[in-house]
Amino acid sequence: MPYLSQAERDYITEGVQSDLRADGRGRLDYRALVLETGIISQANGSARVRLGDGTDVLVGVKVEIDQVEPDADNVGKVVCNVECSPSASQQFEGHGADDLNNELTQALQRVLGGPQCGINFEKLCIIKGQQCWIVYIDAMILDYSGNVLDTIFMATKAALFNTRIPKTQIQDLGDGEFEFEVLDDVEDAERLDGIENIPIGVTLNKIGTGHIIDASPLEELCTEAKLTIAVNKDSQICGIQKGAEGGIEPGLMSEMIQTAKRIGQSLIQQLDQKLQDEEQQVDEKRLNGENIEKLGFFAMV
Amino acid sequence: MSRLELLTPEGLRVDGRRPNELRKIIAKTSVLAQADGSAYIEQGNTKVLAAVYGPQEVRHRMQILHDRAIINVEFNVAPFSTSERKKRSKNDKYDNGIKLQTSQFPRSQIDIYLQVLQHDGGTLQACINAATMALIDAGIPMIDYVCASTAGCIDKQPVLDLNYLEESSDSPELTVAILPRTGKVNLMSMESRLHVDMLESVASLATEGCEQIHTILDAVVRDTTQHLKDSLMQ
Amino acid sequence: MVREADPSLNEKQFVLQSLKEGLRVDGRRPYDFRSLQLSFHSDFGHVQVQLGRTRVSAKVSAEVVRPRADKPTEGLLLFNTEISPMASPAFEVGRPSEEEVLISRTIEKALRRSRAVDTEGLCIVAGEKVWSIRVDLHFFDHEGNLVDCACIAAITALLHFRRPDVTVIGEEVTIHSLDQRNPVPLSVHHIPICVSFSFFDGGELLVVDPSILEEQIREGDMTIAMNIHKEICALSKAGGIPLEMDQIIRCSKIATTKTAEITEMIQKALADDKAKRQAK
Repeated sequence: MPYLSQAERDYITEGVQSDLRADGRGRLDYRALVLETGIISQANGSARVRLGDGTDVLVGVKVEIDQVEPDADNVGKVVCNVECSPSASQQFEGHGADDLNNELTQALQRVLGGPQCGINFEKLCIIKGQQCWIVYIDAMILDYSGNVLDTIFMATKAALFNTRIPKTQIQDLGDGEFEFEVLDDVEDAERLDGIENIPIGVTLNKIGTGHIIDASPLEELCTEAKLTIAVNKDSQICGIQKGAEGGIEPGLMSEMIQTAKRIGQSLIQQLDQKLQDEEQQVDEKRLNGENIEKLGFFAMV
Repeated sequence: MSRLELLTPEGLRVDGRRPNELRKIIAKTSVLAQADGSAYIEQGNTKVLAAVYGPQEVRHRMQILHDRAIINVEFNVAPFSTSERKKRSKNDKYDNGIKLQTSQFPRSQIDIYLQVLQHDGGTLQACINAATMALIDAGIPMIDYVCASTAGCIDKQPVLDLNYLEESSDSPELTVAILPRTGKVNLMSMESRLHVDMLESVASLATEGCEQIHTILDAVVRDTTQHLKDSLMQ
Repeated sequence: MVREADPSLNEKQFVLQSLKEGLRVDGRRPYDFRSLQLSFHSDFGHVQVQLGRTRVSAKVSAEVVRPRADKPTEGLLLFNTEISPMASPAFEVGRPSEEEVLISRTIEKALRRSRAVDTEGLCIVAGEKVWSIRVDLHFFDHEGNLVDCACIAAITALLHFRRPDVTVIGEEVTIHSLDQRNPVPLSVHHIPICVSFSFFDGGELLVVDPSILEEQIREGDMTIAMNIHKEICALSKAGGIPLEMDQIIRCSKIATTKTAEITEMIQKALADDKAKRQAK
């Protein structure tokens, strides 16, 4: 972990105060990002987000059939897992990333694992009391340059948008016995229900008396307190988590929440627009029989 | 032996390649911000990311070698990389056999991290090629490229660069890594049964594949470093 | 961990110089194996192999387990290696060294991946009951070339092993104890034999079955597992100096003859043991 000298700390804090950050951004400016979906052919859905010059998150979504839980027999499940690859930082070598993996996995699971994420869990159930779909979300952090959690949320939303679940055909065998068949046809696969309501996360870092979004690694080091707020497209708050050691005054807290709501709104709008545009382009190409080239890792900011 | 028809009567393979044809290879260096050197390689549908850190101080002092650097390799497979999702164990170590000028960095350590993003056969060869590119990107002096390729044998016909389907159908697979300039073999590894008389032809096909890969990788490296050369000329 | 002392420069030079003249320190010629001794214990599937002074014992045991969900008709074959500090102070209990990992991986490759043992023949009731065959390898003395010795021990033990007979009537499975019915041997398709090489002097000089001293001095190594049908079951050369392809091909030829010799020795020892048991 790099350490900051007092002078560096002062420089960043002063910068935040006067609304000019080290990389030229204002307090509430986001870095440019590259987003692409559908880059992993083996997954049901995938997306990669590269934020600024460095934070790189790859999310793969896989759906699998499993037995329902005995105490909730009419719903499916979403299971999240975040893994930091040592390619992102040397600290993640061996078991070095375990703590961070847990922290990020929990943050993601808390928001996406329950009804607040907007996904219709009942639709994931195939046969009541027997079988359901389980949506596995695996996020992989390949490169690190600050603001990982927000990037994960964004990549997850994009990957879920890209996810198609195969249709199933249920046969009633009588006597309360059912059998089902998974249809192989790709055209028949459908999107998760309630996908448009999936929230994204906005992390605000309190530095000095001001707060910023989309912090760089150095800014994260002088963060006194941070607040991650999950908002959906209707401006509803789906989760709040406070991190770092410092405290937040109640007045500032509500100001931060308002900021997060406003920024989350505009991010979701832009994200949805881009995702739809991309899908439209891919569909058009497919109709015209053109080759769909994915940029994959060759897309840089 | 195999239930699946891996070779059509015309001699084409499941993915339409000829027996001595490689899959499409795309490579790129310097893809990561944090690592000292990094590379990304796509070989058909197999996608591997490599990051190199170092040479740097040795983490565990006990391991220090007084006359050369130690090399530490970590290998990681993404849970969504195969058709069935499963958690693989970390640290499935592949001894890379990478040829480095390690004697130039006594008492230091070089870390290589390999991340398989998508798996479609030939992971070892893709990892070796990616690691080579990342080491070059990190500016660590090497004797030569280490280029790896696989070759197998389907119905007594030597075939180059097996994909996952061909690999998992019980046909023998030989991975060879060579130093292209001298043609010397750095690594050779094989599983499943192959008659000794076939070894020579399969190995020479793999060597040919290595040479082709070398040309591709070399072009990438020269391409990405051209601007440095240009700026020197001015 | 105790790191083993490296051989002195004089020792190194002596070994290299004599190798250049075609001699080895222990009096062998470059392509000679050390003397191989196989001794069987009274119970089936327990073998001690001595290769020169390297000593490995293998014990095979079988139990009935539930098969893996993805392979309901296949039995299990497990290898367990245990290198204790008894073999060499460089090994530590509980923490497998890199060498140990390599040894067990080579054995796995040579014996399991090459399908030496018919695992489908180990199925009793598909999806319900299969035999799990476990080979425990214990290393007693390390005088070089643990891999070859362990491989010989493992395959000999598997050949020597007899599992209890079973009868399946409908759903009912009866396992007959040894005194009820004669136990049955495993069906072994072929006998893979590992042959290890060490290379010196930039890959020009090579020896078969390296001793511990040669292993410490060598510049590169390679292991080829082969069977009597001249099929290569596994080949691994990783790290060490790069070699000419011709050299590797030459090694495969050497391995062919060595495999034939060792297979014959194993079969003779097994036949002798059988005769002895019948005479009792």
